[in-house]
Amino acid sequence: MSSLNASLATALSGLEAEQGSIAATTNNVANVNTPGYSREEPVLVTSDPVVLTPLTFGTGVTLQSVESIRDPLLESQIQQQTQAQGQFSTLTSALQQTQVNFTASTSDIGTAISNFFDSINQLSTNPSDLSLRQGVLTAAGNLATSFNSTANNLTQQRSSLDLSVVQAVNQVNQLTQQIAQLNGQISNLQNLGESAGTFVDQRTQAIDQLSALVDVSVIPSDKSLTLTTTNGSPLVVGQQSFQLQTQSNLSGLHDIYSQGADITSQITSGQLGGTLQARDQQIPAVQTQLDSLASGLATAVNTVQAGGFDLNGVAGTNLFNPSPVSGVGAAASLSVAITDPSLIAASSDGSVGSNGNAEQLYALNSQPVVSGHTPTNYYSSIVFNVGNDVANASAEQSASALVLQQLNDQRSSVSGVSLDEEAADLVRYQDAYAASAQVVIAINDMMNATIAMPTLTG
Amino acid sequence: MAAASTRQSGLRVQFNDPDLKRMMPADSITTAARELLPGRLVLMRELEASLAGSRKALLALDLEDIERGTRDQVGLIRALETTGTSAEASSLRGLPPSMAEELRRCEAGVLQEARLQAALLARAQRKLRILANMLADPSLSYEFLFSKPGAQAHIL
Repeated sequence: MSSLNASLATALSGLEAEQGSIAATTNNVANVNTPGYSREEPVLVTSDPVVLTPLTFGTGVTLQSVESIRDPLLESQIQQQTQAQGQFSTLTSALQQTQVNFTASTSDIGTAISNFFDSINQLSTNPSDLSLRQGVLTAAGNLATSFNSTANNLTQQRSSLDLSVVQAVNQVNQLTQQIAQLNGQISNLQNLGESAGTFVDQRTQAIDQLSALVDVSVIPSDKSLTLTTTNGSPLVVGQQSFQLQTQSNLSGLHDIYSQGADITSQITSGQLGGTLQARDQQIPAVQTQLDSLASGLATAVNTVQAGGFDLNGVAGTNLFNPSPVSGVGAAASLSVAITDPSLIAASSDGSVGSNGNAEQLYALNSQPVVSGHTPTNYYSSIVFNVGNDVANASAEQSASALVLQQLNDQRSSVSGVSLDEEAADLVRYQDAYAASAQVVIAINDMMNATIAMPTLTG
Repeated sequence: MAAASTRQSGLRVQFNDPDLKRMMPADSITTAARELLPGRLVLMRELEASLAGSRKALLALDLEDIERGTRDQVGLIRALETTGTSAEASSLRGLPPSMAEELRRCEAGVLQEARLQAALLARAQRKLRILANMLADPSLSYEFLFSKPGAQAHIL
């Protein structure tokens, strides 16, 4: 038969368990506004019973653990969308800066092309007029300057994005170090059988921050966590972090290395992915198109020039300095080759009054001289492509933001603290504590009564 | 013509919007424009609103609402086709600046909403694929399925 002491121990286990539960509720209430905090719930289990044949007596309750409430599927989705949002917000911002170069203005390339052909058209009305010839040279100079400044702006933008790459890699390294340390703390606590909820919350927040920077795969194990990039390069394995390194390549931009391997092209998500996409794909594509336009236009103009005669009746020379053979850097290096307006080959037969070649120069405006397109149409397609890329990146960013908002709301409903629920739990635990205390008082009375009983001797 | 098509798709489109008529004085525009443009503008506005309305369904993965929205949008696009192309509408002679501006705004709005819709659809598709895999085998690790937009689900 159970003794009064055993009953007292059972009542005390109830007091301890309810105290622990109240502590968990108190911590929940205290963290109601803490970002990233996951609600804690006490896990109560029945203590092992004592068997005194033929009877079995319960021995009370044990507070087995205090568990943080999380949904791993939700966490994974949030990390995925955080990566996408980081990628597209960076890409949108970079492309918007690129787009500024193509906004219609008095000095944009489109206007400069138009002004250049207008000046040739005017020259064809009076080919011997030196002021009109000077007008063509000025317009050609403005056109070259437009190409130069746009190309230089794009190169500068790539350099500044390159700086962002180095900064982002440093941030990634700081975070992976922090996560490795948290892995250690979590593992130590779990080995002692204690709750590591607070550290797990901190780790989840750090992983969220890391996800905004780079594409991360999270591989949970028993008491730890492994993080890799999506292509499998290790970032954190247990308590060890693996640093990413940056190294300048031949073009002066930084590549990213993991364990000695170049993983630059494999990073596709997060801020780092968006920055690399803009630096290595989108902006170079625009630069290549600009180079094609500059090279095609300069070559076509020079070819027509060579077929005509200048004001002195001499065969025409190049109006623009020839573009590099490869075409690379043509926009940045475009320049006017002549300073003497009389050298413009407006005449088709060597006579002073002839405007045949000026008309041929003007006709280039409507001829497919750049990859099968007229100069104006080719430029328009560059502007369209940049605008389209901005709109697509912006839509992707909005979609990620909407989904992320929804997922965060869901996480709040699963892991967030509801003050109403905590209030109800507090009353429940308080009542149970009071009841257990009442049992202790009753047993104490019974013990006192037992002690006060007269001794039955002889 | 446009009104008939939209009625078939179950949509109620009011082409007699007094604001639209005010924007388009009868003596300053061709007959073709007078007939086509109000309908085109109304349909554009409807399409923009329908695409915006589909967002909620896509986020909630409400398949019924997604299908309903898609049906409405297909109907509106068919009706729009009867009002000519965007280029034709913009090139109509005598188009009042306010109406041209409104048309451009609506077209830009539809494009933006359509892009957003495509991005949300891609995300919804990925999520559904993951859920289908989880239902097929609850023990399957879904971690890698989140990785990339083009990643294929592995059904065991």
